[in-house]
Amino acid sequence: MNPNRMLKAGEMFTLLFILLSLKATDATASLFTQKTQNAFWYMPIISLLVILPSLLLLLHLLKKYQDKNLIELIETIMGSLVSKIIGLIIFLSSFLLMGFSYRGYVEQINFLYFPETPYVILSLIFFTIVYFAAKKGWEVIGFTTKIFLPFFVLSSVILIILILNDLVIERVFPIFGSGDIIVLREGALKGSIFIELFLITIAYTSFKKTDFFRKGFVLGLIFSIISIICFFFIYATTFDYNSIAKMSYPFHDITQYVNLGGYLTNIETFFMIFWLLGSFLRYAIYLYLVTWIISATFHIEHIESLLLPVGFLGLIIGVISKNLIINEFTFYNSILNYLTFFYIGFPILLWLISSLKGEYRKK
Amino acid sequence: MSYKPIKKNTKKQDKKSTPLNRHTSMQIKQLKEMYSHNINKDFCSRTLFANFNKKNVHLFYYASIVNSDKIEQAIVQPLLEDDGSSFPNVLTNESLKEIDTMEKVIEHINSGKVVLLSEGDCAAYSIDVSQFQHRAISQSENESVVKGPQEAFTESTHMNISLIRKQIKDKQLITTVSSVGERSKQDVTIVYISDLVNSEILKDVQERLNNIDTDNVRNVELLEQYLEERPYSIFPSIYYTERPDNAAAYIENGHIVLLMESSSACLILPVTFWTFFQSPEDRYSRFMFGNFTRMIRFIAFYLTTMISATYVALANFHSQMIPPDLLLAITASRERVPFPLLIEVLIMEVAFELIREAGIRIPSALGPTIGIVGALILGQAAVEANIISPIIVIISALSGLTSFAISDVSLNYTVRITRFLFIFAAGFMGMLTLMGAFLLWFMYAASLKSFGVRFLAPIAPSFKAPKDTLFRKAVRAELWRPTQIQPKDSKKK
Repeated sequence: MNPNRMLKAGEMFTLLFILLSLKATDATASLFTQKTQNAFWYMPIISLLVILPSLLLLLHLLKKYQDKNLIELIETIMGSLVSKIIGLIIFLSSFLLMGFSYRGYVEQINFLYFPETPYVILSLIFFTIVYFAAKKGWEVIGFTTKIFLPFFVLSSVILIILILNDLVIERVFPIFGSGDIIVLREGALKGSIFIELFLITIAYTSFKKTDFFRKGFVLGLIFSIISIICFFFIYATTFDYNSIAKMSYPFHDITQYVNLGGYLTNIETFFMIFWLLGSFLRYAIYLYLVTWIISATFHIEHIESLLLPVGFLGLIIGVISKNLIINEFTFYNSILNYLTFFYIGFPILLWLISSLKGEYRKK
Repeated sequence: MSYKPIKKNTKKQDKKSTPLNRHTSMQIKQLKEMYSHNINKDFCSRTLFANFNKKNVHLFYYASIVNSDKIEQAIVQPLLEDDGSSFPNVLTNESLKEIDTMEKVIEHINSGKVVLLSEGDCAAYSIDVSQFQHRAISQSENESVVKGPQEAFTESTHMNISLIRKQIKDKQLITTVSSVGERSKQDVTIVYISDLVNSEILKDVQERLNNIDTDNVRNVELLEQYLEERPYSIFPSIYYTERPDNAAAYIENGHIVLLMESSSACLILPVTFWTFFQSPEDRYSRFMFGNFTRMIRFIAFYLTTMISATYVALANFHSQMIPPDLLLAITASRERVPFPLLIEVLIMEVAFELIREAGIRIPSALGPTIGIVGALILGQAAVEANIISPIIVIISALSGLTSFAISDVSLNYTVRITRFLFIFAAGFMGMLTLMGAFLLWFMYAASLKSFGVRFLAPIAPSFKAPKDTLFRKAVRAELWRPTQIQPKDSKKK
């Protein structure tokens, strides 16, 4: 227990919740629909089940080797050189995903609210806000997310209540979409959409007690999955799979679809406010985690001074790809597929080596 | 608790001291020279022939800050008439003190004491007969309440402490004194309950007081600026109040209160963001009523910081959000206005701030003028001249009026400056930049500390607290003191 650290389970819960559940609002849904059709809404569960054993193994190791974060744990078990390689792979993979998904978020703002503004300007504004937010440090990000969470939940609940009338439950059938084998295969390959779960273990020691991390982790994971499934289910039953495959941002289509009585017919800006705050925070968390990993791998002390280069390079990654379709459905898709194997593999490797070395038993 | 007390100069430790000696006439000459005796009219020096030791005794004091009747009764009469073996025998006043250095003599004369120098003696004596002039206790004017005590602090530490003691009859209520200032030494009274206060914070406060390196700190308003950690921040980090009942309530929760002689208010620390929202009346009113007021205040806070900015963002960038009928009304009213919307809003907001500033400075006899000028010129003439559209008048009146609901003097400025920041942000890229500015503003607040206590505690980071942060519980259901300041006894019952 560290009295100087102020973060508790509540902050952990909200950090993870924002990091994960915002996936319900981006192009993940339409990425899933491409191959699995209307089975996409429960695919996150399959993806989660695939990576769950590795994840639990990692948590188990973290608990055994007390007071070590992800990179320190790898270093203790694997030694300096291998840990640097694995750390670098984790960094590069999360960095690429950050870059690509960053593009996705800025494109959403671009398409929906500022179609006249060049993408570069918007992404610079977005980046500036995210950078300064991340610069305030991990604790402050935690406090802020915790205070904002009720508003995010409230706005989501309002949205769900408003859309409830338009749901057609029959649209979930056929339940296996394009076929059970394809659904299982695709779901398994997309295990890496939960890559954030691995990344956040870098913050394992930043809480008042490590118990708080585990508690917040489990609860955050459960609630994020529920909210993702819930939103995916709403997309599936409102639009049916054909439209989602073509619309890329079902969340924003929902917010444009609903209205509040006959007088207030366009209330998407109301939901956009909370979505924007959430996205800023999500990228601040993401950027901080990614930078934290690289600085932990190479023992660089000041995370804050690395935020700018890492964040800016991430921004460049987003700009490189020509357009959204290539970005989301080609690069992002294949990176996700490859990464799943890595993230399933490395905790098992860690566990095996730690058992072989016998250190595990000693501890 | 992790925080770094400011460590600066050690100037205080190496100051010189001149002990008094037996050459009294030399020292008297020195003193008179130092105080420019021949031109400084209210500096008095008198010589008496003491009855008990048959020697000359010299009295020094400032006539303007002492009670002359008391001098006659407590010093002159006993010296001339009474018998005894030593000064303490003859002068029976409770404040008699023996002093042995020239610096002490000067300090005591300056703070309203009479200093006695006896011929051939190497010690001097001082008696407190000070009587600084001050106002009587009056009603609280800046923090008025409907239900609750009406007394306010006045410019006298004695009276102020008595007002606090009246409410807390606790033997552990301590009032210690630290002096600040090099040239003119002023006393700062630190008030706290010794078995509640966090000793680390207390030590930090005392250290900061000792480290103040300036000639004179006249009052708590200036002291606040010497004490705070971030002088350029837009958020206050010390609570300033003129209500003794408010001060007493915070002392009872383990906070520290600072008082100074020439201020009709006190400083309370450490504080959190939520402190500035609360009025003592929230607690004096019943549960429902108090919370209703709180809710109104939060709505006011939102409106005053955001309404103008929201209007700029919606009307400029997200006009689809505004219902068509309203949008048409807005557009129609703006048809003949030559300025962009942002300029229009700024004109009105600046005008409101001008009226407000002028209203405070204007002599009270001219007060009504400002109402007429403000209402007529800005409200009506500007609209008729097509400088601004009527809806802007409504918006800025709303944001101006609601700012008065934030009653705290310091937070009020924060809110008013923030409003302009948000208007500019909204004018840049609508909701995108407005929300970005809001987020960064909020995160800045979350990163602040007031004397080691996080600014947004006890919500984030979470602590046990009396649950009196956003809304409050029933008074009898409060179990805890605010544990973010780590009081020695955190249970209230």
